Amino acid sequence: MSSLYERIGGDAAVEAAVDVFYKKVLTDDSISQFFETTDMDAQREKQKKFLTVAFGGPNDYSGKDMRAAHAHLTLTEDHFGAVAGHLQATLEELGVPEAEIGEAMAIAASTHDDVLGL
Amino acid sequence: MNKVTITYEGSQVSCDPDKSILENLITQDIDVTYSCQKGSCLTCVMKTDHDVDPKSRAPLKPTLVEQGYFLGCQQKPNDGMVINAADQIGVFHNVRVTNIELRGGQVAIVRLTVPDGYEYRPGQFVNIIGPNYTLRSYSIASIPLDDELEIHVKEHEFGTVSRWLCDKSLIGQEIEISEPEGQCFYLPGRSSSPLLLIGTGTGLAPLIGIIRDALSQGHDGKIELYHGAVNDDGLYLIDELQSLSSEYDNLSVHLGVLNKGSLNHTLEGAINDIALSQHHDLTGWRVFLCGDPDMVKKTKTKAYLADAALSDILADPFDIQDVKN
Repeated sequence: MSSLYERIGGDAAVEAAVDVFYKKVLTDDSISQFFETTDMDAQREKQKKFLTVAFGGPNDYSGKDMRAAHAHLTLTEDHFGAVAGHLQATLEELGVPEAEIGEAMAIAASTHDDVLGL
Repeated sequence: MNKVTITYEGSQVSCDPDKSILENLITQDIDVTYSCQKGSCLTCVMKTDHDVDPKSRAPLKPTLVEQGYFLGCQQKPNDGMVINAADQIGVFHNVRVTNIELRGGQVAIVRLTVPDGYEYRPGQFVNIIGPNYTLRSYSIASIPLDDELEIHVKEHEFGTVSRWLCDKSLIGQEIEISEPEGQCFYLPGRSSSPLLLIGTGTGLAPLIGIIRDALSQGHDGKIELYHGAVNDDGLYLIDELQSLSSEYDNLSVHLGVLNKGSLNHTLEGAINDIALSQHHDLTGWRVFLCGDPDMVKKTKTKAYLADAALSDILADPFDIQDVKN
Protein backbone atom coordinates (compact mmCIF):
# COMPACT_ATOMS: atom_id res chain seq x y z
CA MET A 1 0.00 0.00 0.00
CA SER A 2 1.25 3.47 -0.80
CA SER A 3 2.23 5.80 2.03
CA LEU A 4 -0.19 8.13 3.77
CA TYR A 5 1.67 11.06 2.20
CA GLU A 6 1.05 9.70 -1.31
CA ARG A 7 -2.56 8.76 -0.61
CA ILE A 8 -3.34 12.22 0.72
CA GLY A 9 -1.87 13.81 -2.40
CA GLY A 10 1.79 14.52 -1.66
CA ASP A 11 3.29 17.98 -1.80
CA ALA A 12 0.23 19.49 -3.47
CA ALA A 13 -1.93 18.40 -0.53
CA VAL A 14 0.52 19.80 1.98
CA GLU A 15 0.61 23.07 0.04
CA ALA A 16 -3.19 23.21 0.08
CA ALA A 17 -3.33 22.43 3.79
CA VAL A 18 -0.61 24.76 5.03
CA ASP A 19 -2.51 28.04 4.65
CA VAL A 20 -5.66 26.60 6.21
CA PHE A 21 -3.62 25.26 9.11
CA TYR A 22 -1.36 28.30 9.64
CA LYS A 23 -4.37 30.63 9.68
CA LYS A 24 -6.05 28.53 12.37
CA VAL A 25 -2.89 28.68 14.44
CA LEU A 26 -2.45 32.45 13.96
CA THR A 27 -6.01 33.20 15.04
CA ASP A 28 -5.87 31.00 18.15
CA ASP A 29 -4.94 33.38 20.97
CA SER A 30 -3.89 30.52 23.24
CA ILE A 31 -0.95 29.63 20.96
CA SER A 32 -0.49 32.44 18.43
CA GLN A 33 2.31 33.97 20.53
CA PHE A 34 4.58 31.07 19.58
CA PHE A 35 4.12 31.81 15.90
CA GLU A 36 4.53 35.58 15.94
CA THR A 37 7.55 36.51 13.95
CA THR A 38 8.65 39.16 11.48
CA ASP A 39 9.55 36.44 9.02
CA MET A 40 6.17 34.92 8.18
CA ASP A 41 7.52 33.29 5.05
CA ALA A 42 9.98 31.24 7.12
CA GLN A 43 7.25 30.47 9.66
CA ARG A 44 4.94 29.20 6.92
CA GLU A 45 7.74 26.92 5.71
CA LYS A 46 8.01 25.51 9.23
CA GLN A 47 4.29 24.80 9.29
CA LYS A 48 4.65 23.07 5.95
CA LYS A 49 7.44 20.95 7.31
CA PHE A 50 5.28 19.98 10.28
CA LEU A 51 2.41 18.95 8.01
CA THR A 52 4.78 16.92 5.87
CA VAL A 53 5.86 15.08 9.01
CA ALA A 54 2.26 14.52 10.10
CA PHE A 55 1.41 13.16 6.64
CA GLY A 56 4.26 10.67 6.92
CA GLY A 57 6.05 12.35 4.03
CA PRO A 58 9.75 12.88 3.38
CA ASN A 59 11.18 14.93 6.21
CA ASP A 60 14.51 15.83 7.68
CA TYR A 61 13.20 15.97 11.25
CA SER A 62 14.43 13.37 13.72
CA GLY A 63 12.93 13.05 17.20
CA LYS A 64 16.05 14.81 18.46
CA ASP A 65 15.52 17.78 16.13
CA MET A 66 11.89 17.98 17.16
CA ARG A 67 13.01 18.12 20.78
CA ALA A 68 15.68 20.77 20.12
CA ALA A 69 13.36 22.91 18.01
CA HIS A 70 10.84 23.21 20.82
CA ALA A 71 13.25 23.27 23.78
CA HIS A 72 13.29 27.07 24.09
CA LEU A 73 9.50 27.29 24.34
CA THR A 74 7.50 26.80 27.48
CA LEU A 75 4.89 24.42 26.17
CA THR A 76 2.08 22.68 27.99
CA GLU A 77 -0.29 19.83 27.28
CA ASP A 78 -2.91 22.44 26.32
CA HIS A 79 -0.63 23.96 23.65
CA PHE A 80 0.04 20.55 22.15
CA GLY A 81 -3.66 19.74 22.20
CA ALA A 82 -4.54 23.03 20.52
CA VAL A 83 -2.14 22.45 17.62
CA ALA A 84 -3.30 18.85 17.25
CA GLY A 85 -6.90 20.10 17.19
CA HIS A 86 -6.10 22.55 14.40
CA LEU A 87 -4.44 19.77 12.43
CA GLN A 88 -7.52 17.57 12.74
CA ALA A 89 -9.86 20.44 11.83
CA THR A 90 -7.72 21.31 8.81
CA LEU A 91 -7.84 17.76 7.49
CA GLU A 92 -11.59 17.53 8.07
CA GLU A 93 -12.13 20.84 6.30
CA LEU A 94 -10.18 19.58 3.28
CA GLY A 95 -12.28 16.44 3.10
CA VAL A 96 -9.52 13.96 3.96
CA PRO A 97 -11.09 10.54 4.69
CA GLU A 98 -11.46 9.56 8.34
CA ALA A 99 -8.98 6.68 8.19
CA GLU A 100 -6.25 8.93 6.80
CA ILE A 101 -6.99 11.60 9.42
CA GLY A 102 -6.56 8.91 12.05
CA GLU A 103 -3.16 7.98 10.64
CA ALA A 104 -1.99 11.59 10.53
CA MET A 105 -3.17 12.21 14.09
CA ALA A 106 -1.32 9.11 15.26
CA ILE A 107 1.91 10.40 13.70
CA ALA A 108 1.36 13.83 15.28
CA ALA A 109 0.72 12.17 18.65
CA SER A 110 4.03 10.31 18.34
CA THR A 111 5.88 13.66 18.54
CA HIS A 112 4.20 14.48 21.89
CA ASP A 113 7.12 13.72 24.23
CA ASP A 114 9.73 15.33 22.00
CA VAL A 115 7.71 18.53 21.52
CA LEU A 116 6.98 18.87 25.23
CA GLY A 117 10.50 17.80 26.22
CA LEU A 118 9.34 14.86 28.34
CA MET B 1 30.35 29.81 28.27
CA ASN B 2 32.57 28.39 25.52
CA LYS B 3 34.00 31.07 23.26
CA VAL B 4 35.01 30.55 19.65
CA THR B 5 37.79 32.34 17.83
CA ILE B 6 37.50 33.86 14.38
CA THR B 7 39.93 35.89 12.34
CA TYR B 8 38.54 39.24 11.19
CA GLU B 9 40.68 41.41 8.93
CA GLY B 10 43.77 39.50 10.09
CA SER B 11 43.10 39.84 13.83
CA GLN B 12 41.89 37.08 16.13
CA VAL B 13 38.57 37.84 17.77
CA SER B 14 37.11 35.82 20.61
CA CYS B 15 33.37 35.50 20.04
CA ASP B 16 30.21 34.49 21.85
CA PRO B 17 28.88 31.68 19.60
CA ASP B 18 25.25 32.53 20.40
CA LYS B 19 25.50 36.04 18.98
CA SER B 20 25.93 37.08 15.37
CA ILE B 21 29.37 37.85 14.00
CA LEU B 22 28.31 41.46 13.58
CA GLU B 23 27.09 41.73 17.17
CA ASN B 24 30.35 40.25 18.42
CA LEU B 25 32.37 42.78 16.42
CA ILE B 26 30.22 45.71 17.56
CA THR B 27 30.40 44.83 21.25
CA GLN B 28 34.18 44.66 20.98
CA ASP B 29 34.34 48.09 19.32
CA ILE B 30 35.81 46.70 16.13
CA ASP B 31 35.26 49.08 13.23
CA VAL B 32 32.54 47.58 11.06
CA THR B 33 29.93 49.04 8.72
CA TYR B 34 26.32 48.23 9.56
CA SER B 35 22.86 49.66 9.96
CA CYS B 36 19.66 47.65 10.44
CA GLN B 37 21.08 44.41 11.91
CA LYS B 38 18.07 42.56 10.57
CA GLY B 39 19.28 41.34 7.22
CA SER B 40 17.52 44.08 5.26
CA CYS B 41 20.01 46.87 4.54
CA LEU B 42 22.91 44.64 3.38
CA THR B 43 25.50 47.07 4.72
CA CYS B 44 27.25 44.52 6.97
CA VAL B 45 28.23 42.31 4.05
CA MET B 46 31.49 40.37 4.68
CA LYS B 47 33.51 37.77 2.87
CA THR B 48 34.67 34.26 3.81
CA ASP B 49 35.67 30.99 2.18
CA HIS B 50 34.10 29.02 5.03
CA ASP B 51 30.62 27.49 5.00
CA VAL B 52 27.88 29.79 6.24
CA ASP B 53 24.20 29.54 7.10
CA PRO B 54 22.13 29.87 3.86
CA LYS B 55 20.09 32.52 5.72
CA SER B 56 23.12 34.84 5.75
CA ARG B 57 23.27 34.68 1.96
CA ALA B 58 19.59 34.57 1.05
CA PRO B 59 19.22 38.34 0.47
CA LEU B 60 22.39 38.62 -1.64
CA LYS B 61 22.66 38.47 -5.39
CA PRO B 62 23.98 35.14 -6.76
CA THR B 63 27.04 36.93 -8.11
CA LEU B 64 27.95 38.04 -4.59
CA VAL B 65 27.21 34.64 -3.06
CA GLU B 66 29.49 33.09 -5.65
CA GLN B 67 32.32 35.29 -4.39
CA GLY B 68 31.85 34.26 -0.76
CA TYR B 69 29.92 37.22 0.55
CA PHE B 70 27.46 36.88 3.42
CA LEU B 71 25.71 39.09 5.99
CA GLY B 72 27.51 39.38 9.33
CA CYS B 73 24.25 40.09 11.17
CA GLN B 74 22.71 36.80 10.02
CA GLN B 75 25.64 34.52 10.76
CA LYS B 76 26.91 33.09 14.02
CA PRO B 77 30.68 32.64 14.41
CA ASN B 78 32.17 29.18 13.90
CA ASP B 79 35.54 28.44 15.42
CA GLY B 80 38.36 29.11 12.97
CA MET B 81 36.38 31.21 10.48
CA VAL B 82 38.48 33.66 8.50
CA ILE B 83 36.50 36.74 7.55
CA ASN B 84 37.30 39.93 5.75
CA ALA B 85 35.41 43.16 5.49
CA ALA B 86 33.90 43.77 2.09
CA ASP B 87 34.01 47.51 1.65
CA GLN B 88 35.00 47.08 -1.97
CA ILE B 89 31.83 45.38 -3.10
CA GLY B 90 29.49 48.01 -1.88
CA VAL B 91 29.94 49.76 -5.18
CA PHE B 92 29.08 53.35 -4.39
CA HIS B 93 28.27 55.98 -6.98
CA ASN B 94 28.90 59.69 -6.81
CA VAL B 95 25.72 61.61 -7.52
CA ARG B 96 24.89 65.31 -7.29
CA VAL B 97 22.09 66.67 -5.13
CA THR B 98 20.00 68.68 -7.57
CA ASN B 99 17.21 69.79 -5.26
CA ILE B 100 15.96 69.62 -1.69
CA GLU B 101 12.36 70.61 -1.21
CA LEU B 102 11.04 70.93 2.35
CA ARG B 103 7.51 69.68 2.86
CA GLY B 104 5.20 69.27 5.84
CA GLY B 105 5.83 66.79 8.60
CA GLN B 106 9.58 67.52 8.49
CA VAL B 107 9.92 65.63 5.25
CA ALA B 108 12.27 66.71 2.48
CA ILE B 109 11.99 65.57 -1.10
CA VAL B 110 15.58 65.12 -2.22
CA ARG B 111 16.48 64.78 -5.88
CA LEU B 112 19.73 63.31 -7.14
CA THR B 113 21.36 62.76 -10.50
CA VAL B 114 21.19 59.18 -11.77
CA PRO B 115 24.53 57.42 -12.28
CA ASP B 116 25.19 56.22 -15.85
CA GLY B 117 23.74 52.76 -16.47
CA TYR B 118 22.12 52.67 -13.02
CA GLU B 119 19.31 50.11 -13.07
CA TYR B 120 16.75 50.21 -10.32
CA ARG B 121 13.17 49.20 -9.62
CA PRO B 122 10.97 51.82 -7.97
CA GLY B 123 10.38 50.74 -4.38
CA GLN B 124 13.91 49.47 -3.92
CA PHE B 125 16.19 51.43 -1.62
CA VAL B 126 19.69 52.88 -1.69
CA ASN B 127 22.17 53.29 1.10
CA ILE B 128 23.57 56.78 1.40
CA ILE B 129 26.88 57.59 3.01
CA GLY B 130 26.35 60.49 5.39
CA PRO B 131 28.71 62.41 7.65
CA ASN B 132 31.32 60.26 9.47
CA TYR B 133 30.55 57.35 7.17
CA THR B 134 27.15 56.81 8.76
CA LEU B 135 24.94 54.82 6.41
CA ARG B 136 21.19 55.10 6.07
CA SER B 137 18.74 53.46 3.69
CA TYR B 138 16.22 55.48 1.67
CA SER B 139 13.55 54.11 -0.66
CA ILE B 140 13.32 55.26 -4.25
CA ALA B 141 10.19 57.22 -5.14
CA SER B 142 11.08 58.00 -8.76
CA ILE B 143 10.76 55.73 -11.79
CA PRO B 144 13.46 55.06 -14.40
CA LEU B 145 11.62 57.29 -16.91
CA ASP B 146 12.33 60.28 -14.66
CA ASP B 147 15.51 62.28 -15.15
CA GLU B 148 16.35 62.21 -11.48
CA LEU B 149 16.41 59.86 -8.54
CA GLU B 150 13.95 60.91 -5.84
CA ILE B 151 14.02 59.99 -2.16
CA HIS B 152 11.91 61.22 0.77
CA VAL B 153 13.75 62.04 3.96
CA LYS B 154 12.08 62.48 7.32
CA GLU B 155 14.21 64.73 9.49
CA HIS B 156 14.90 63.15 12.86
CA GLU B 157 16.02 65.35 15.70
CA PHE B 158 19.17 63.32 16.34
CA GLY B 159 19.53 61.80 12.88
CA THR B 160 22.97 62.64 11.57
CA VAL B 161 22.14 61.63 8.02
CA SER B 162 18.56 62.88 7.86
CA ARG B 163 19.46 66.35 9.18
CA TRP B 164 22.30 66.55 6.65
CA LEU B 165 20.01 65.55 3.77
CA CYS B 166 17.32 68.03 4.83
CA ASP B 167 19.78 70.94 4.81
CA LYS B 168 19.49 72.92 1.60
CA SER B 169 23.18 73.79 1.65
CA LEU B 170 23.74 70.27 0.31
CA ILE B 171 22.20 71.28 -3.04
CA GLY B 172 24.84 71.12 -5.76
CA GLN B 173 27.16 68.92 -3.69
CA GLU B 174 28.14 65.35 -4.50
CA ILE B 175 27.15 62.46 -2.25
CA GLU B 176 27.64 58.69 -2.48
CA ILE B 177 24.85 56.16 -2.96
CA SER B 178 24.92 52.36 -3.17
CA GLU B 179 23.53 50.06 -5.80
CA PRO B 180 19.75 49.63 -5.38
CA GLU B 181 18.68 46.88 -2.99
CA GLY B 182 15.47 45.27 -1.78
CA GLN B 183 12.66 43.09 -3.06
CA CYS B 184 9.67 45.37 -2.55
CA PHE B 185 8.73 46.37 -6.09
CA TYR B 186 6.15 45.85 -8.84
CA LEU B 187 6.51 42.78 -11.01
CA PRO B 188 5.03 43.04 -14.51
CA GLY B 189 2.30 40.58 -15.46
CA ARG B 190 -1.09 40.07 -13.82
CA SER B 191 -1.83 43.62 -14.94
CA SER B 192 -5.48 43.47 -13.94
CA SER B 193 -4.95 42.08 -10.44
CA PRO B 194 -5.78 44.64 -7.74
CA LEU B 195 -3.04 46.32 -5.69
CA LEU B 196 -3.35 47.45 -2.08
CA LEU B 197 -0.61 49.76 -0.83
CA ILE B 198 -0.38 50.91 2.78
CA GLY B 199 2.31 53.27 4.06
CA THR B 200 2.97 55.44 7.06
CA GLY B 201 5.13 58.57 6.95
CA THR B 202 7.87 58.39 4.31
CA GLY B 203 6.79 54.78 3.75
CA LEU B 204 4.88 56.57 1.01
CA ALA B 205 8.10 57.02 -1.02
CA PRO B 206 8.47 53.42 -2.22
CA LEU B 207 4.70 53.15 -2.68
CA ILE B 208 4.42 56.13 -4.99
CA GLY B 209 7.37 54.73 -6.96
CA ILE B 210 5.64 51.35 -7.20
CA ILE B 211 2.34 52.94 -8.28
CA ARG B 212 3.90 55.10 -10.99
CA ASP B 213 5.94 52.10 -12.14
CA ALA B 214 2.81 49.91 -12.32
CA LEU B 215 0.87 52.60 -14.21
CA SER B 216 3.73 53.19 -16.65
CA GLN B 217 3.74 49.45 -17.34
CA GLY B 218 0.04 49.53 -18.15
CA HIS B 219 -1.39 48.14 -14.94
CA ASP B 220 -5.15 48.43 -15.41
CA GLY B 221 -6.38 46.67 -12.26
CA LYS B 222 -7.61 48.58 -9.25
CA ILE B 223 -4.91 50.39 -7.22
CA GLU B 224 -5.85 51.36 -3.67
CA LEU B 225 -3.33 53.56 -1.86
CA TYR B 226 -3.58 54.31 1.87
CA HIS B 227 -1.19 56.89 3.31
CA GLY B 228 -1.20 57.59 7.03
CA ALA B 229 0.43 60.21 9.21
CA VAL B 230 0.11 61.54 12.73
CA ASN B 231 -1.20 64.97 11.72
CA ASP B 232 -2.42 66.70 8.56
CA ASP B 233 0.99 68.20 7.80
CA GLY B 234 2.48 64.70 7.63
CA LEU B 235 0.43 64.11 4.47
CA TYR B 236 3.31 65.69 2.62
CA LEU B 237 2.46 64.56 -0.92
CA ILE B 238 -1.24 65.34 -0.94
CA ASP B 239 -1.27 67.49 -4.11
CA GLU B 240 0.72 65.02 -6.20
CA LEU B 241 -1.45 62.13 -5.04
CA GLN B 242 -4.65 63.96 -5.85
CA SER B 243 -3.49 64.92 -9.31
CA LEU B 244 -2.31 61.38 -10.03
CA SER B 245 -5.63 59.90 -8.92
CA SER B 246 -7.57 62.33 -11.09
CA GLU B 247 -5.42 61.29 -14.05
CA TYR B 248 -5.93 57.53 -13.56
CA ASP B 249 -9.43 56.14 -12.99
CA ASN B 250 -8.12 52.90 -11.50
CA LEU B 251 -6.18 54.69 -8.72
CA SER B 252 -7.92 55.59 -5.45
CA VAL B 253 -6.05 57.53 -2.77
CA HIS B 254 -7.09 57.38 0.88
CA LEU B 255 -5.45 59.63 3.46
CA GLY B 256 -5.63 59.07 7.18
CA VAL B 257 -4.35 60.84 10.27
CA LEU B 258 -4.29 59.79 13.90
CA ASN B 259 -5.28 63.29 15.02
CA LYS B 260 -7.98 64.64 12.77
CA GLY B 261 -7.33 68.23 11.73
CA SER B 262 -9.05 70.67 9.41
CA LEU B 263 -8.29 68.92 6.11
CA ASN B 264 -11.29 67.65 4.22
CA HIS B 265 -11.44 64.09 2.90
CA THR B 266 -9.03 62.68 5.48
CA LEU B 267 -9.95 59.67 7.57
CA GLU B 268 -9.25 59.40 11.28
CA GLY B 269 -7.38 56.47 12.78
CA ALA B 270 -4.51 54.09 12.10
CA ILE B 271 -4.24 53.83 8.33
CA ASN B 272 -3.62 50.06 8.29
CA ASP B 273 -6.79 49.45 10.32
CA ILE B 274 -8.74 51.76 8.02
CA ALA B 275 -7.42 50.00 4.91
CA LEU B 276 -8.19 46.49 6.16
CA SER B 277 -11.64 47.48 7.40
CA GLN B 278 -12.40 48.44 3.79
CA HIS B 279 -10.88 45.29 2.28
CA HIS B 280 -11.98 42.10 4.02
CA ASP B 281 -11.15 39.72 1.21
CA LEU B 282 -7.71 40.08 -0.36
CA THR B 283 -7.83 36.93 -2.46
CA GLY B 284 -5.81 37.63 -5.59
CA TRP B 285 -4.57 41.03 -4.35
CA ARG B 286 -0.98 42.13 -4.27
CA VAL B 287 -0.21 43.98 -1.06
CA PHE B 288 2.64 46.44 -0.45
CA LEU B 289 3.41 47.58 3.09
CA CYS B 290 6.00 50.23 3.97
CA GLY B 291 6.92 52.27 7.00
CA ASP B 292 6.74 51.67 10.73
CA PRO B 293 8.04 48.10 11.40
CA ASP B 294 5.33 47.32 13.93
CA MET B 295 2.59 48.44 11.52
CA VAL B 296 4.17 46.42 8.71
CA LYS B 297 4.39 43.25 10.80
CA LYS B 298 0.84 43.43 12.11
CA THR B 299 -0.63 44.30 8.74
CA LYS B 300 1.25 41.49 7.03
CA THR B 301 -0.42 38.98 9.35
CA LYS B 302 -3.83 40.58 8.85
CA ALA B 303 -3.47 40.67 5.07
CA TYR B 304 -2.53 36.98 5.12
CA LEU B 305 -5.56 36.18 7.26
CA ALA B 306 -7.66 38.15 4.75
CA ASP B 307 -6.49 35.56 2.20
CA ALA B 308 -3.72 37.42 0.37
CA ALA B 309 -1.06 34.88 -0.65
CA LEU B 310 2.08 35.33 1.42
CA SER B 311 4.13 35.54 -1.77
CA ASP B 312 1.94 38.49 -2.83
CA ILE B 313 2.62 40.51 0.31
CA LEU B 314 5.71 42.65 -0.14
CA ALA B 315 6.93 44.61 2.83
CA ASP B 316 9.59 47.18 3.54
CA PRO B 317 9.83 47.81 7.27
CA PHE B 318 11.75 51.01 8.01
CA ASP B 319 14.13 49.74 10.67
CA ILE B 320 15.91 52.93 11.52
CA GLN B 321 18.60 52.64 14.10
CA ASP B 322 20.87 55.50 14.97
CA VAL B 323 23.59 53.07 15.82
CA LYS B 324 26.60 55.21 15.13
CA ASN B 325 25.58 58.44 16.80
